[in-house]
Formats: sequence, C-alpha cells, structure tokens
Amino acid sequence: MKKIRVILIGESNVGKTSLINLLGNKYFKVSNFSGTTVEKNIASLKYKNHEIEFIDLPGIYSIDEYAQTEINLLVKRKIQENKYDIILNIASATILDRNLNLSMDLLEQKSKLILAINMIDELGDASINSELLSDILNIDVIQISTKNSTNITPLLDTIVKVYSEDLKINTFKYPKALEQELNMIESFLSTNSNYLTDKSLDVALAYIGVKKSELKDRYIAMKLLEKDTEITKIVSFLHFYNPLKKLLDNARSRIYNYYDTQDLLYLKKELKQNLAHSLFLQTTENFVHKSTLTNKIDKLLISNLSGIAIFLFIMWVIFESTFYIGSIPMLYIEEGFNILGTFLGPLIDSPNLKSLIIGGILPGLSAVMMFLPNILILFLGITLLETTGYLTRVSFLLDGVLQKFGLHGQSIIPLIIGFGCTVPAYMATRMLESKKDKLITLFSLGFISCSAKLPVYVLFISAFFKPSASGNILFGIYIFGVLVALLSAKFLNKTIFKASKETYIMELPQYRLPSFKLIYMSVWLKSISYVKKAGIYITLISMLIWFASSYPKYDVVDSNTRFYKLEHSYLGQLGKSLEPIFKPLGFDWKMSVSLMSGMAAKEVIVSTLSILYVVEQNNSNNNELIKKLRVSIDFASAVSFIVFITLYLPCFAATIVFTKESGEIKYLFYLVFFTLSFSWLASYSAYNIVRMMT
Amino acid sequence: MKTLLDCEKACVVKVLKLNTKGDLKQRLISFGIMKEAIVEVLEHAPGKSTIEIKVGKMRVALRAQEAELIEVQKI
Ligand SMILES: Nc1nc2c(ncn2[C@@H]2O[C@H](COP(=O)(O)OP(=O)(O)OP(=O)(O)O)[C@@H](O)[C@H]2O)c(=O)[nH]1
Ligand SMILES: [Mg+2]
Repeated sequence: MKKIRVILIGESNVGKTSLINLLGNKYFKVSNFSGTTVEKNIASLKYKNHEIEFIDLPGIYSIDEYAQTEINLLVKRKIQENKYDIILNIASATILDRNLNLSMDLLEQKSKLILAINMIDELGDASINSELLSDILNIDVIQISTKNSTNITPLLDTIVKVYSEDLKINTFKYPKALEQELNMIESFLSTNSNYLTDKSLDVALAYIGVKKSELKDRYIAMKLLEKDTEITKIVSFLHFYNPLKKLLDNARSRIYNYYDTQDLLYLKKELKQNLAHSLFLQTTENFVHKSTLTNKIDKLLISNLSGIAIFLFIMWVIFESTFYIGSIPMLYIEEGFNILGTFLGPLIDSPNLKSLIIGGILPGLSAVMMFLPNILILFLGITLLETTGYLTRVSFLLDGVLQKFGLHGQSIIPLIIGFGCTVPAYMATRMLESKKDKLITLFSLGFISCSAKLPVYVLFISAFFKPSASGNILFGIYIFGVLVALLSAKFLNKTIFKASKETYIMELPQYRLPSFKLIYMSVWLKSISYVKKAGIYITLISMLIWFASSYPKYDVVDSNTRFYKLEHSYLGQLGKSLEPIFKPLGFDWKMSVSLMSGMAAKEVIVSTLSILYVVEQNNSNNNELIKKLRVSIDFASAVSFIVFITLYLPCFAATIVFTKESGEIKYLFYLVFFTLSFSWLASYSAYNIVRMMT
Repeated sequence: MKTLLDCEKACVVKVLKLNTKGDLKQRLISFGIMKEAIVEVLEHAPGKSTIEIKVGKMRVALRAQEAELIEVQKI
C-alpha cells in the first residue's frame, strides 16, 4: 500500500478542517470565523490501495506574507519542509475572487497542486467553470461541498491520479513587462549555472524554500529583483556579480517606470490579484452582487448601540438558561447516584473500602456530575456563537470598547471561548498577531469564569440567594469577571506591555446555520471530556481528600468524634495551617482546603466541599450540602468565597498551556503573583464590605 | 482628499491609493483592498471606531485608523 501525503493549504474559514473531519471521520474544531485551526491536524484514510494522509493547517492569506506571526511561520515552514506529495489548495466558492490569490502563490511552488473549490452548496444561481479554470492553470480543479459530501470520491480519485502522474509544467506567468525582465535575469543565471556550487547558496535556497534538486533560477531572479537582502548578499560574493548588478539595475528601473512603483513585493501581489480577478471573471457566471440575507441580519445585529444591547441580551439568555434549564435534571442525577450508593453499599465488605467509595468517591462524583446539564447548555450556547459567525460581529461591535482597555477586537473570541474552557481559549489567542495583544489577552483570560467554575457558583447561589434572583446573580458574577478582565488589561497595557497601536482587519464571514451534526458533535465531545475529567480528577482527588480526612485514625467513639477526627486529620491540619492566610477572607479550614484542591480542577472544589461538610451521612446529597453550607458559612464569607473563586488561578492544565503560549516562564510567575494577590485583596474587600452592610 | 473613513453608510467608492506600506499594505491587498477596487461601506460600529465594508463578495471589518489610509473616490 502506498502512502500519499496531502497538505491542505487555503485561506482561513474555507472549510479545510471540515474536509479532513469528513474524510478521516475526525472531530477537529470547526467554526465560522478565521483562525479556528491554530495547529496541525492529521487525518488519514485508505482508498483504492493507497493510504492517504491529510494534513490540515491554519489558514493563511499569502505565502510571502510580511507578517511573521506564529501561524504564518508554521504554514510556511510546512510548505518548505516539503514532506508531502501533493498540495491540496482549498478555496471557498463564495469568496473565490479572493481565494484565487493564494492559488497564484501556490502555482509558483514547484509541487503537485490540486484546487478544490468548497461550499458549492452556497452558490445558488452562480456557477463556476472548473474545466476552463483547470485548462488555464494546468492543474486539476474540482468543486466540492463538505456540507453535502458532494464530489468527495472524485476528489480522492483525483488525488490518486495526480500522485501517480509526473509533475506538470506550471504555466504561471506574470504580465509581460515583469515576465520579460524576470526571464532575462533567469537566463543570465542559467548560463552561469556553476554558481550553484557555492555552499552558502544552500542556506539561501532553504530560506526561500526551494530544494536544490529542483532549483529554479526563476526564484533567485525574482528575489534579486525584489532586493531580498539575504540572496543579494550571497550573490554579491560571486564572480559575475558586477555584470549581474548592472542587469538588475536596468531591469528594475524599467519595471519601476512601467508600473510606477518601487515596491516589488507589493507590485507582485497586485499583479497576482489582478490575474486572480480576471481569472475569476473569466470562469464564473452569475456572481451578481445582491443584497443577501447576511446583509439584512447584519443591519439588525451590528447597527450601533442596538447591536451591543442585543449582544448583552444574548449572553444574558445563555446564562439564564444555563441556570434554569440546567437545574431541571439535577434532582434525577442526584437520585441516581443515591440509588447507586444504596445498591453498592451492601455489596462491599471491607469497611475501609466502603467508606472510600460511599463516603468519598461517589459523593464527589455525584456533586460534579449533577452540573453536567448546566455545562451542556453553556457549551451549546458557545458553540452556537462560534459556528454561526456571530462572534466576528461581536468582535466588530466591541473593537472600539476593547481598544480603550488595551485589548484587540479579536481578543473577544478567546474571551468568549473562555466561558467554556480556558485551555482552548488560551490556544485561540494565537489568532492575535501582535505579541502584546496576545499576552494581555492571556492574562485577562484568567478572570473569565470557565464552565468548571459553574458548579461552584450554582451551589453557592442556591445556598445563599433567593431562587428568583439566581439567574441574574450568576450573570452578575460573569459580568464581574469580565470587568476585572478589562481593568486588568488596562492596567497591564499601562504598565508592563506598552506598545504601539495595532491594526485590525478581519473578515466577517456570511452567517451559516451549523448542521445538527456539527453542533451535536461539538457539544457531545465537550461533555465527554467533562465527564472524563470529572471521572479522573475527581476520583483521584476525592480519594486523596477522603484519605487525608480519615487518617490518622482515632479511637474515640462518642458522637462528637467525627468532628474531632476530621479536625485532627491530616487534611484538618493542613487546613488549619492555611488559616492565617484565609481567615481574613472569612473562610474556614474546609473552604481553604477546597480552594487548594481547586487548583487541580475547579469542579473539585464542589466535590471536596461535599466530602468535608457532609461527613456524617454515608450518603451525601446536594440538598444536604446546601443546607450544611447555609448553617456553617455566613453570607459575607460566601460572597467573599465566590469573589475569590472568580479571580484566583486557572486550573492546572490551563496554567501549563498558559506558560506554553506566553512563551516565557517568567510570565507564569507574573500570573501566579498577579492573580493570587489580586483575588486575595478583592475577597478581603468584599468580605468586609458585606459585613459592614449586613 | 477623501478617505474611506469619510464615507457615509451605503456609499460605494473606488480605491485610488493606499497610503501605507509593508505589512498593512500587504494585508489590505490580501483582502482585495487595492487600487481600482470597488468598496461599499456597510456599517459603522458605535463611535465609528470600526467600519464594515464589502469588497467583491467579502465583508471586511477594519478600524478607523486603517480606513483613513485608504484614499477613495465616489463613483
Ligand atoms: N455551506 C457550507 N459551509 C461549509 C462547508 N464546509 C465548511 N463550511 C463551514 O465553513 C466554516 C469554516 O469551516 P472550517 O472547516 O472551520 O474552515 P477552515 O478552513 O478549517 O478554517 P480555519 O481553521 O479558520 O483556517 C464553518 O462554519 C463550516 O461549517 C460547505 O461545504 N458548505
Ligand atoms: Mg481549520
């Protein structure tokens, strides 16, 4: 079986990831904005005696993009490494006029190339003549739709066919005025072809991404014309440099004169754009400009202040329904765990094991699993925001406001993803081009409450606030986190990360109704990972907590002994030792311990509390926990606890990703210091203010 | 001299010149915003800090500071 390596290159949001998901039966993240994929994804399938491996990459706009962002560099490196057999260029039928630009760039690469035009389901009356396009470009062109699985088999056939063919001569030509000059330099170089032996040339070739065996004088010629410093430096040591220089100077001045510009990179780009555009006009029909549905929705959603009001309303609806709809199945889940407990109890002989499972693991798990419905609804909300294209509109609306706080309009995308989980949110900051924007967004993200904090909020809100106000209180907590995030961004912008103004250009894709499968899978996968995380972390930590709270063993047997035992257990001792730090915030030792365990994962706070507060029962249940919390914790401490949880460190996994994304270990120390000291101060203030008021 | 920033909502203009270079200029061209391109202004964000335009089939958002660098002519 032969292996075919296919690398997917295309602009952002054209459906590259959708395609490999479809082909390889994978579920990599797909959403309707540019910059969803930030890493390489791989999927493979077997087809007609071949194993075809697809490598999906982030979207790029141009191969010789100036902007040296992490993402551009990654894609460029992948293209240059040349570890593939075929470049599969994906374009979107809806914005083909622009997408063909990148195809022009790719035609200049000396690789096998296939152009797949995706989203033809959205064409409507318009049509594309792919045979003509194929004839002109001298590559295979195929129209597909990943949404309707149109032409997927023909695409695979084409891949297999192109793989076995020889590399076709690429016919890409610039307009005559430039092409002529290019050819002249090219032939001068080829008559002096012994310059190839120069060793430093290897370096130069690697730099522009051409393998020596397939070296094309054309590349060197172009780079020389562009005054590329690297290549010019190398060539300047060669014996024929003087005549070459004269040739170049003359050629350049003719080009400058003809095109009335000295910026060749820009000129090249402009010429390619023109070529792409005329190609588009030549090969398409009925692409008339009409007022689309998207324009109408946009009028409603992003007109001035009403747009912001609508955004706030949408977020409010998401959090309200998270609270209310999510609480409906809670009782049943709880009941289920209780039944499980009573069922398992008699089956276990060893009293220690029984105590571990019935008193430690089960209540821990139950306390966390009960919140699965809430979390599902929250994820559903976020997935809808991501996949419809609305997030880009939010970015557009809020860019002005965010700018005032030193954030970038695009920062809103990671920030909203952060309501779900901080880890993908940190990853999404890669879409920000400037390091400064990225770092500020990374730091602010810590204050955006992730879904794992939701159980703690819901628990405390249920225990300490009126049911009618609950949804709003929850929304208020989230708003509070956002405000702190904004202020901290402002603070960082004024103190540590000063930099010039950044640019903001972003594509607003058309609105798309996500398919049921897309939503279902994305919510499903997130809940699976929630359950897994709950399963692993919570079982482990519940065991640890249970152990540390049950040992050392004391032999006293009257009714007060349980409390005595707990307070003098290892865990009790740890909690007591934390008292000087947390006492001023109004936390008892159990709360302090739960905060510590929450550093591993936030859900664990709830399971820890349930183990520590409901020790008497062998059968914990949430109402019991709520009652216990109500009697053991005063209102001021509860508020202070919520504030602390909103602001303190992200979980362990997120902290690792933070360190990786920020790029320097020192930022980790900043993060720890910054968030811990800030959350302590905020809780301290909250505690004392509430105490004064009540 | 009229720039894209001066345009009202719903006006359609032709780009004459990009008063910028390097990164930003490349990026603008990548989005099809270049000499001769026809651009329609669709929406202004609150405070006109950001504007939404349409170039070809594509909607693009850019900031006032970038729009100001794009010289245009009414058609
Ligand atoms: N109508 C339609 N929509 C599609 C099709 N293929 C993908 N989409 C949608 O296009 C959007 C972008 O899809 P992705 O697969 O994330 O695009 P991508 O090229 O990987 O994007 P980046 O990772 O940001 O570069 C999503 O909203 C998809 O649902 C298609 O064939 N038809
Ligand atoms: Mg992708």
